[in-house]
Formats: sequence, C-alpha cells, structure tokens
Amino acid sequence: MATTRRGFLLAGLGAAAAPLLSRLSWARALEGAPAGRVLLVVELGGGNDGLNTVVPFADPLYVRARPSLRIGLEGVRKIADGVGLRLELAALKSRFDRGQLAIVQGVGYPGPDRSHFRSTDIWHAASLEPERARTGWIGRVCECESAGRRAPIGPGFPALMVGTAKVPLALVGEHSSALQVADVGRFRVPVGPKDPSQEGRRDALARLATTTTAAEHSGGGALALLKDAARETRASAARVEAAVEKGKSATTWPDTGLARELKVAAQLIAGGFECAAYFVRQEGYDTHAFQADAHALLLAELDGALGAFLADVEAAQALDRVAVLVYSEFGRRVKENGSKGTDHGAAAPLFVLGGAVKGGLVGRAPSLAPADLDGGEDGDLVHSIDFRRVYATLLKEWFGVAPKRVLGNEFEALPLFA
Amino acid sequence: MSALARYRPGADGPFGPAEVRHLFRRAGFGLPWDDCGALARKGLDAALESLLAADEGRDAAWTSRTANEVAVAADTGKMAAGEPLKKLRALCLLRMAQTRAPLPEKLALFWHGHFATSVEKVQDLRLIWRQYRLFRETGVASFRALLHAVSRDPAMVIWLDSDSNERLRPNENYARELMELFSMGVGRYSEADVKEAARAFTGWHVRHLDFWLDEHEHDGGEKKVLGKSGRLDGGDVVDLCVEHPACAPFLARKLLCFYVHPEPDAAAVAEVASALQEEELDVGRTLARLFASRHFFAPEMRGALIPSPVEYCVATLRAVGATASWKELGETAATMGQALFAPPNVKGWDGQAAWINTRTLLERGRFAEAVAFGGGALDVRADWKRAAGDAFAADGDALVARMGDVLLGAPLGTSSRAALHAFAASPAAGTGEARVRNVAHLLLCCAEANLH
Repeated sequence: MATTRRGFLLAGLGAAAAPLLSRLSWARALEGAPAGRVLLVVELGGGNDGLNTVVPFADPLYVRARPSLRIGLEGVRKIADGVGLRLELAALKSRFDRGQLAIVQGVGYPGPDRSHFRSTDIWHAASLEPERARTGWIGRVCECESAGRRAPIGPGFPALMVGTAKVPLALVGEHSSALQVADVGRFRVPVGPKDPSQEGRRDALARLATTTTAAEHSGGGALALLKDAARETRASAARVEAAVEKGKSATTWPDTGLARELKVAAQLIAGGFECAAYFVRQEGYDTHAFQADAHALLLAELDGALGAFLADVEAAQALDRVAVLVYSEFGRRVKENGSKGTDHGAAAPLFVLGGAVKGGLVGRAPSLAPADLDGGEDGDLVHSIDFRRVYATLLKEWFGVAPKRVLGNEFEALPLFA
Repeated sequence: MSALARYRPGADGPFGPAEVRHLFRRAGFGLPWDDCGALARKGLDAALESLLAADEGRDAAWTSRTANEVAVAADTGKMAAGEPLKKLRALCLLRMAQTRAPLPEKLALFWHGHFATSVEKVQDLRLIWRQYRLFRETGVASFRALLHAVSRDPAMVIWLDSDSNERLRPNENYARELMELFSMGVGRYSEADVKEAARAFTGWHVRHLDFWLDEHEHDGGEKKVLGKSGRLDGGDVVDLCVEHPACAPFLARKLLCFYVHPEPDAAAVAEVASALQEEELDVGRTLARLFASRHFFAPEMRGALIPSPVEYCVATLRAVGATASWKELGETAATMGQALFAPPNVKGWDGQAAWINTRTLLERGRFAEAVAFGGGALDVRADWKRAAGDAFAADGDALVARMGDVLLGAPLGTSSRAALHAFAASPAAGTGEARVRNVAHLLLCCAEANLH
C-alpha cells in the first residue's frame, strides 16, 4: 500500500478537509513580520437562501414562487429599487450605507452541484473538480511567497480556523497547516499539578513535542502528522498567549456561538497575531422545512456577530486591514417546497466587507423567469459571476498575489476595493 | 494472494499480545494488556470469538436501565438538550467501557457516524435512543435490512425531512443522502434519480413517535429511478440502491477506513466488497473475515489509524480499568470534536487527520492530565499500582516499557522512548505511585498515544 504523506493526510476524505500540520514552522517564518492584511471568511453552512437575504421583494415572480416564505417591503431594509436587505441585517445595512459592504449578485459556478459536501469542496478548492484537488485556495495563498515583500501581505502566514467545527479544505496547503483555536483561555499546554515533578514534566513535554527522528518522519503517515501537530501546537500556544495579552476587546458582544468565535478573531487581529486568514462557519442554513423563523434567527445571529466584529476591529483601528467574505455553498430553489422550506439551489449573492472595500451592488440579480432558470419552472437561479472572480479580486487586490498562481486560471477581477 | 486470506500465526507473523491489542483496539475499545497476553496464548480463533462474547445478561440490564432513563426524561419533558442528553451519552460511554462483547458496540458507533443523525434537529431523545438501539441490535446483520429500517426510523425521518415530504411538493433531502452518503457515493446517480426517488418517499412520515405511511401524501405514480421504472415506493428505492453495483464497494471502503487503514488500496476495497456480496451484505460475517485476515494484521495497518475522541478516551480508561464521571467524559469527547448524538452534519465525522489540530491536541493533552492525576470534573480513578504490576518498583526503563504496553495502542517510537527514559531516570520522576502517574501522563502525551 503506497502511502504517501500527502495521500495519507487526505486519506479517506476524498477532497474533504484535513487539517495539515506543517513541515515548515510558521513561527520561524514569521519572525519580525509586521501585522498585515487579513481576510475573515464567514461560511454559511447548509446553503443560504439568497433570495430571502437580499430580497427582490417587488418581483411578482418572487412573490408567486414563495407563497409562505416571501418577504415584503415591511420585512426589508431597502438598498435599491425593489431590493432590500432582510430586516435582521441591521448592522450590515449600516455598513452598506457607509460604503463598506459590497453585495455581489448572482454568484455561482458552471454545472452547479446540489450536494452540500461537493459544492462546499468546490468553493474550498476553487476547482470544479474538487476530487482532484488536495489543497484549498486559502491554504495555497498562505504558501505563496509574497515577492520579497513582507507587508502588508497576508501570504506567508498561516490560516486559523476559529471554533470547534472541523478545519475546512479551504485552509489546507500543500505543506502547511491551519491552526485552530476555540477558546483562548484553554489554548495552553497542560503540565499537570504544581508539585515537585512539574518542571520535569514540562521539560519532558517540550522534548516530546519538538524531537523526532528522521526515520519517524520519513515513514510519513499518522505518526509524522502527530509529531508535526505537537510541535505546531506548542509554538502557536505561545503566540496566541502573547497576542491575547495585547488585544483587549472594547465592544459589547452578543451572547451567541458565532459572536464568541468572531470575538476570538477580533482579539487576535487587534493583538497583532500574524495570520493571513481567519475562517468561521455558521451552521444551520439547510432549511428544507419551516424555514421562516429559523432563517430569521440565523441572519440575526450573523448580523449581531459581524456587527460587533466590525465595531471591534474599527475600535482597534484595524478595519482598513480587514476584509470579510461571507458566502454559502449554494443558494436555494426559487420555488418553496411543500414543507414551508426550500430545497438546494444554485446561484446566490455574497458579501465582501471592510474598511478598504468599495461598497454597493455588484453585478446583476439573476432573473426569476421560468425560462431563465436552470430546470424550468421548478429550477434554480443561474449565476452570472463565477465565485472565482471574487477570489481573484481578493488575491490580486487584497493579498497582492497573482490569481493564476492560486486558481490555476485567470479570472476577471471585480470592482470590490476602492 | 487474496488480501482476505486468513492470517496464519507463525507463517505470516506472530500472534502475541500486540496482535490481540491491535484486534481489540480496532474491532472494539481495547483490552487490558494482561488480558491480551492471556488471550494470545489461546490463539486467533479464541480472540475472534471473544469479540462477540455472550454478554446478554449485562446487556439486557443496561438496555432496560437506559430505556428507563430516557422514559423518565420524557416524563419531565426535557427531551433534547442538557441533562438527559448528557445522561444518555454517559450510559453509552459506560457500556463501551465495560462491555464484554465489543464488536456490536463498536459497530454501533460506526453506524452512528454513517447515518449521522443529530439530536439538535430531531429534538427528541427517545427517538435518538431508539435509533442507537437499532444500530446496536441489528447493525451486525444485513445491511439491506438495516437500510430499510433506517429509512423508516423516526429519528431519520425527521432528520432528513421525509416527515415533510409530500405528494405535491416532494422534499429531496432523504433521497439525496440515501444515495450520496448511505449507499453509493456521489456521482453514481443523476439529479433526475434524486428527484424521482424523493417522490417514492413521499408520505413517509412520523406519527405518535412511530413511522407512519401517510397514504394521502404518498405519490403512487410511475417513477424511474436508477434505470428502473414502475410505481416505485421508498422500499423499492432502498432495494435499488442496495443492489446497485456501487453499493458494496462504497460500504467496503467505508468499513476499511474505519477499521483498517485511512487510505485503503483498491484491491482491499474490491475484496471486502466481494466478501460483502458473498455474505449477502451481512456486515458481521464480513467483518469476522476481515478481522481474521492477513490484510488486517499486515505491518502497514498497525498503528495506522488515529482513534476518534470516543475511541481514545474509552480505550485509555479501559486499559487501566478506570472509572470516571461518564457524563463529563461525554463532554470531554465533544470538546475534542466528537459529540455523541450531535455529529457535525449528515456526513458524520471525517475521522483520521481531521481529528488532529492545534486545538484538539491540547484537549487530548488535558484529558491525559486528568487521567494521570485524577480529580477535577472528570474524576478518573484508577489503580496505578496494579497497572504498573511488577514494574512498580523496577527501574525507569522497565516502568516506561510496561506502562507503554498498558496505555498505548501502538508501540512507542525511538524519540518518544528516549524522552520518557530521560525523564524516568531523573529525580523529577518521583517515587512510588507518583512516579507511575508521571510516566503515565507523559506517555499519554506522546504522539503514539493518538495512534492505534
């Protein structure tokens, strides 16, 4: 059985996520690097109903397709003729008004896949054949040399998953790791009780985490992975502790899971933790049944957490070096189903936010006319903007990396940054 | 040579305590090292038999106790979150830690990951418990029967929205995951198959906590699924999925990833798939052949898997016959990434490398600390003097060797052993029981502690 190290890491997962732990030591690569630009990715897991997020409330086709789920004028905050952000998205609307929120409309990819997992992998790998991809787009960004420049570039730094959900494929690089932190208070190496042996144990733990033989490493497989993980964990625990010392939050945060995670990201950003990208995932958007209340609560949680995050990084004078990308693996079917819910769909809007972002509506909203849908009357919205154009824009304008190096192809950039 | 050819101790390799440990760590939740030695002397057949040792009396007592706990929770109206869920997790972990018939118990955990259903949506612990019982009690038999039963299982019916799948407006959720995740894998069916199959499951609802075929909402019309046309219902679709050529290899691969190697080679998948077919998809009989095979005991399979949090915690406690706060253990495993009855999504836990990252490794370290030093919410109690056996008063190297055998699922590598030897030879190691605990702590923090 030929078990290459790379092969092992993705073993049994298809192209699904494997948290890679590095052969490079991030800690070493980072010495003396100034705090630079960061990307925060908020993934809405399950397939967010784009039509009920950026709502074409005046479109009679929308009204007809959604007998129980439609949102009227009273349920939105108007942003253009016939288009409104959901009432729940108060903070996002205020950022839109300040020109800090770009809403990219009709985003998707050719041949939309309705499997959550495959479609998520497509977004993560930035490839229409995610089975063949072993790395994610952010993982690849992290491994780009930044053409001799250290600042204000993200590449060359690790990515960090905040929360307890699995580390996504998006953050997987060829040779490198994504870090994961949930609770900064728990992010330290346990050394046992204060007793006469404690110092000895501490030393032994350091030795266990940092020494390995060539044979153990060349064997690849799980042992090498665990040895790498131990070393990386030890180094990042020290770095997180140092950043947390510096980054104090001045904002009032909502008491939600997503807010707790974004607070960790905000704290590390404010504390100067060197990191190219933070990734969080909000679950629950797979609203096949009784969507109305559940979806409203999710959007409210999203808005509350993002609002606090943006206020916090703004207070730390870091808003200009933060870009936020909010997307879901697909939108939902135009026509609601018999369960007062919606089934898996295709194209949907996504959000890009930040101090350097050029706000406004980008692209055009997809037509809801049956003839324009993929699959006719019971069909799905057709995309007009490939999501990789959004990535290409972030790569070029934000990270200063040639998009082709990460995406394999050229994609036309969008006007997302001022 | 056939990968599933029977392992011949002597000709193919040894059959000692290390082989028994490998068998029990994979097929079950581990076995105390001294028992591994005793069983090795009795041979492979005896070891295989003891995976399925008769444990009916204790099992029946456990089942009725758990059923009772769930019923009491129902009476008080606390059906989903909080204490009742913690209690159910605790009881299941207790059973894993104490069972004498580990194979069905471990297989139940496999099925829980395969048909990953979460209490967070089902919102009724009675139904979650009933589904887990289904996995425990019928999981070792026919996969076809299991897939039929799961398709009608009330927790599943709610989890994947069959309950709101209606004649005029079908809901595709169950039909899609049945094909993608439960039986064939993505790419083996078309979008049209999903749409048509969804119609076949219309009216498969739940009423009064039981499966209920709502005739009024069932679409009895003509459908075409996977190339077959007719007035198909859900049962017909399940049969079509099970009979599809992709089903046996799909299941074989999944079993191999869980039990043998994270990246099974194509030949092994093909052999296990044909074994499944020969055994008419009887999973227990197929696993019995796998666990007796040369493939299973081959050197490259040993220590190749990273145990899940539940496997890691339960095996560690079993290894030293420890007790713990089982409720807290459920929380501990959840913190490490495996919340029983609340998997991340319908795809279940990815396993292997996905268990390990900076956060989860620190949580595993925290568990190691709690096991070795006791106290705290987890309140682990173990007899360390007994665990150390004759090595209790022996030199440091001997104690490290003994405790490594006792605690770990794989042999200690060169660099870890050197670090342990240096510690054990230093004054910091301490004396008596404290010395055993210190060595145990460091062993559980080795990379090898996260392998089996």
